[in-house]
Amino acid sequence: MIGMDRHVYHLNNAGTGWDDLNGSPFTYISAGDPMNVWGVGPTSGGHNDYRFAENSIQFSRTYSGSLTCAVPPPYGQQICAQFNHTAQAQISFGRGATGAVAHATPWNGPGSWGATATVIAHPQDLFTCLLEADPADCDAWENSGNMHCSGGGSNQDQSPPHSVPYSELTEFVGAYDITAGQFLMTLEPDTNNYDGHSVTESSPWLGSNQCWWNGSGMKQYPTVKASTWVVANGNAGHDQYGFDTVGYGSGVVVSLIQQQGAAHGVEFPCNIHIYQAMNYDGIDPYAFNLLTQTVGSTTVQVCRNNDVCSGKIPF
Amino acid sequence: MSKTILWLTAGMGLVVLAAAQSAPVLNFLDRAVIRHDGHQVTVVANDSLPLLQAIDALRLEYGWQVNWESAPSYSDFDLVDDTSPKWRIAHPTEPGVTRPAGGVFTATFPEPDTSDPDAERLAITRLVEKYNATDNPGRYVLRAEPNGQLAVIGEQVRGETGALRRISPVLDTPITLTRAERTVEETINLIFATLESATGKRIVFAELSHSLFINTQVNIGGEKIKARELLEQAFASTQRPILYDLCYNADVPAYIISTSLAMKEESDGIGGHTLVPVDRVKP
Repeated sequence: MIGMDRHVYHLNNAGTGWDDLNGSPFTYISAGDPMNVWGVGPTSGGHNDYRFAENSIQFSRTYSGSLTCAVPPPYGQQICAQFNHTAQAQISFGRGATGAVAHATPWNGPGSWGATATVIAHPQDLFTCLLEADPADCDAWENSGNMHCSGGGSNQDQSPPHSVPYSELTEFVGAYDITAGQFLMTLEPDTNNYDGHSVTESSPWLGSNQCWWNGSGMKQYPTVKASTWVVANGNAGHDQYGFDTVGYGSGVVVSLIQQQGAAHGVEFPCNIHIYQAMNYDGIDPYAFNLLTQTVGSTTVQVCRNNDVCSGKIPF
Repeated sequence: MSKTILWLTAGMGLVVLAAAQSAPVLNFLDRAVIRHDGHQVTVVANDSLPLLQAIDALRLEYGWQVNWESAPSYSDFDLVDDTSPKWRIAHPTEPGVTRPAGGVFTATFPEPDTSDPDAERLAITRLVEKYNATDNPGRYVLRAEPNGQLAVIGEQVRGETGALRRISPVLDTPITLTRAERTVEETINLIFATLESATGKRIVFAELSHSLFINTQVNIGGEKIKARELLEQAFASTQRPILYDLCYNADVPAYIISTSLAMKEESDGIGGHTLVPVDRVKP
């Protein structure tokens, strides 16, 4: 092995070369051989005196959490798309040097997840170590901190992990264009900061329209349009996004339903249902909503998830 | 009186329903059925607008982005009485309501070669040709717009004598729109208001999901530009694959336009289906 004095090397994953752990480059300890870590002298004044880091590098930490996913009726089952949780351990040697090992654990909710990362270090060696759950490559976590070694095998999380939301609270804001409704959402849990991130809607399934009749020109199977909102932008405050504007507005279509629907056999009140899935930063859905507009013979009501509704708008 | 839209009521009264055809006993399909048989695809539709129902099914089957503009049928040859018997008993003297006189439509065409960029146009062309050979209302043409979008557009309807007569599609109307920064929703409403002034025809924007159009700003306009072109520019500004259906309600009378996101229906892996926007479909 040829190396520089006072540098530490790890045999890389392919076994064909040595990763220098001094400075910016890092090495995947678990992917290669964790025991094949060598320091280059001097250890006691001698030059080019290679020293095996006999205790290798060792540290371990486990992260876990849980998630539930709700789907509105008639789709009663819980469907969570796959999340990947990655725990990343890092080691460093010398000023600014880092090494890393990562384990990605795919997980399908609902339920609990866990991920463990291990880095092996020894205080008697020249290594220091630290460890974190790195969300950078993980759907559920985001690494926003700068990691460094504090020495002696201790570990530090320089900043708390940044999680994706697992639900949202909906608030009715007001009517839009007479008969449509506007809603403002707050992402949960509120212990995290989602500002500046994006939320995008999609329709996983076709909706239904009881107010429709054949030849009416309305959508028989309505869907959302895949709007994207930036959290804490425009009308929305901290951890909020919106408005989400739903329902036939301007009263013209509602008038059409009220004045022609019954003659076409539409029963009042009639309901329009739209299914809406919410994605955070383009990753898997964290919430499924049911958007509803109910047209009565003299009133209109708009709801998001059945429990947050406008009043009955006289029309 | 806020809920009473005078144009609506007045329009209904103008319809001479006594002369309209009686609705045959029909079992309309909720959705057109698509069958794959070797190298052939068969589409079976049964609807008052069966060509639209067939196209709607093909949109979801293949993720095609085809716009639709109904032929504005108005005569007794293209409309049938659609008045509910229950409602008729309760309202014996009031004007009834109609719907387009379409019914069953079946078409077969070669299985589209998904690697052929022209497959969509070829298949829809065949579909339209087959439709125009039936007795269903309206005659249609497939147009490829300069932006590459396809639109099936009604160009002929039956007049009072039953003879086919050519009509000018309402979205062909040139209009002038002042260039300004607006939301897409405001722009669409302005296009329709301008179009109404130019043609005297009522256009109703039947939108259920407004957020994308409210959240997107656009700056378009110009002199004597076809309304369709402006509309497509407004939709394109959302950077999502928006498609539209322009239908005609003869009882009002009014054009009713609704929009949706072009999507493909895919297996969800657990026995059901899920929708995927066509700009997010994995190759």
